[in-house]
Amino acid sequence: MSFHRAQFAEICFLLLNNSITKFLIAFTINVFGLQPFAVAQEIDFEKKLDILGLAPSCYSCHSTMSSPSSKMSLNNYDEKQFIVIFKRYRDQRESNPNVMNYIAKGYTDLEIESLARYFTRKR
Amino acid sequence: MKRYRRQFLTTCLSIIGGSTSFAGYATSEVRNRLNPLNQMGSVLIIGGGFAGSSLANFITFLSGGRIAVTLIDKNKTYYSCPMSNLVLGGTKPLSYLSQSYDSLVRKGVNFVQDEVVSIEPSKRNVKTLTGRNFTADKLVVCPGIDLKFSAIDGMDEEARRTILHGWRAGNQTLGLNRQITQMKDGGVVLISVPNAPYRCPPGPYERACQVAMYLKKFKPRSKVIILDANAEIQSKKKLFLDAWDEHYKDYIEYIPNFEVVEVDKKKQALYSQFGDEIIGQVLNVIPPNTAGRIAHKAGLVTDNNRWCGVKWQSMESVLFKNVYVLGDATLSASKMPKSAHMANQHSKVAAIDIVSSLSERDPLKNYKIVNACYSFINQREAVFVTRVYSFNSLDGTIKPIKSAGGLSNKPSVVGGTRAYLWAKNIWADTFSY
Repeated sequence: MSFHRAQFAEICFLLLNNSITKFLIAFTINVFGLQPFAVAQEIDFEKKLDILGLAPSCYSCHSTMSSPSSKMSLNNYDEKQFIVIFKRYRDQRESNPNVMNYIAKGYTDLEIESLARYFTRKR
Repeated sequence: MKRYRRQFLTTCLSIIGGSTSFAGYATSEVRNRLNPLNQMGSVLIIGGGFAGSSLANFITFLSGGRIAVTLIDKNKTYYSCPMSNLVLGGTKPLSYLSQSYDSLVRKGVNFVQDEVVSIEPSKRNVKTLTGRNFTADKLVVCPGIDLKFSAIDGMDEEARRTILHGWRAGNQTLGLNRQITQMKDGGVVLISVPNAPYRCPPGPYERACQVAMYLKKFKPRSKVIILDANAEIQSKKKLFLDAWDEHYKDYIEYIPNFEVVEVDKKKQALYSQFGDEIIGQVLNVIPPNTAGRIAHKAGLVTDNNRWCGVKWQSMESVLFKNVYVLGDATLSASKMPKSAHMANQHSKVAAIDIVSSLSERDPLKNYKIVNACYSFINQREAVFVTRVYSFNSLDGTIKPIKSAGGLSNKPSVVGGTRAYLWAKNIWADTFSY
């Protein structure tokens, strides 16, 4: 009996990993507003908890949350580009520094990499 | 078997999680808000300024609309204090500062236009002027500042009609602008600065620049005199002194250690703590600042009868559980100014704590927040100051990071362009455009 259950789970697992199936399920959930969305929000939040100590402070100037089309949006970078630019702000000596030259000095390599992952995946 | 079941469940959830990007956030938020089964809890926010509005926005965003957010403010429109000096100098109209709550409402926030008259913090119970009662799992008080008119003799209701502060934007800004534009050439504009801490440390000095810019252009025999209760300029000192020297040499006079303790409306005179008299045609008196009146009434004030102490890990009041205080009303941490940017950042910390708590998760152990503050020297050039703060749960305090933060070298047009962008973005982030 347990063998059959395992087989059934495996079939479901393979089926759900198929990208067309993924799209159909996602489409159904969004269009018909099925309940499991609530669970997804919780999982999402849990994953973000650590980065939430860093990323939200960027929103005040870089309205990533509200206006992705904004001139200062962080959504316009890819992960590597984000890291390079952030570190350049931090490490390069500027004769006429701007706000970011000073702010970047408050973040470690690891923090910058986490921010890059967060903002570029969010897109 | 258990392994398969776990994989199956994980895959389902990851697919569902991924699906959020297909249809957009707003629809899901409203859908979840309308479905009571999805509710994680409720939050009641008093005050729709930079702290309260951005909190409403960020909680809605973080929880996917599953926390019922009610925002109470007595005004339908909010006028931004940042950039309001540009209205005084005639660079921008008042409408430039105006912010609406409509977008927050569209995202599911229940906006209530009413005035809160009493708060029972232990029960998180709130009564309004129209007789309505509100209660919620979490109560957040964002009352901004109140002005201590009683600290200045002669500053009665009658005097307050013409001696304006302009320290809460809106009608006061417009009135002050009118007084300056109607003043005859050869007049003196007096700007008084209260003892620190007060809202927006560089604000009065930026205001002097904007008024002097107007006078230089339209009333060249006039000038501004700054009467500072403090011993020195409170923010961007060298930058302001250089700018005054370069642009407004005969237009700005600075007098330190002049605390306005008395006004004489008939004589148009201000008096210092030593009895010195100074006469002006426009009197812009900024009285000492304290936490907004409702915070006093609710018993949330802890320090020097002026400010509300908070736990920096969460922004929860040190006195009451599940009651938070944000923004200018808080007892500032080390080198933390009372600014719109700081208020917006407070809201992020509080939102994370509220969502964590309502979903039974551990609070944040560490976080970093930022302050950025621009001041306009004229229409186009601005200077800035910035700082990064780090909270560590081990010592329980928030401190500025020494290696980060600093000032601009000099006023610049690039700085001005960034200042306009900063305003546009923080308004968007706060009021959820």
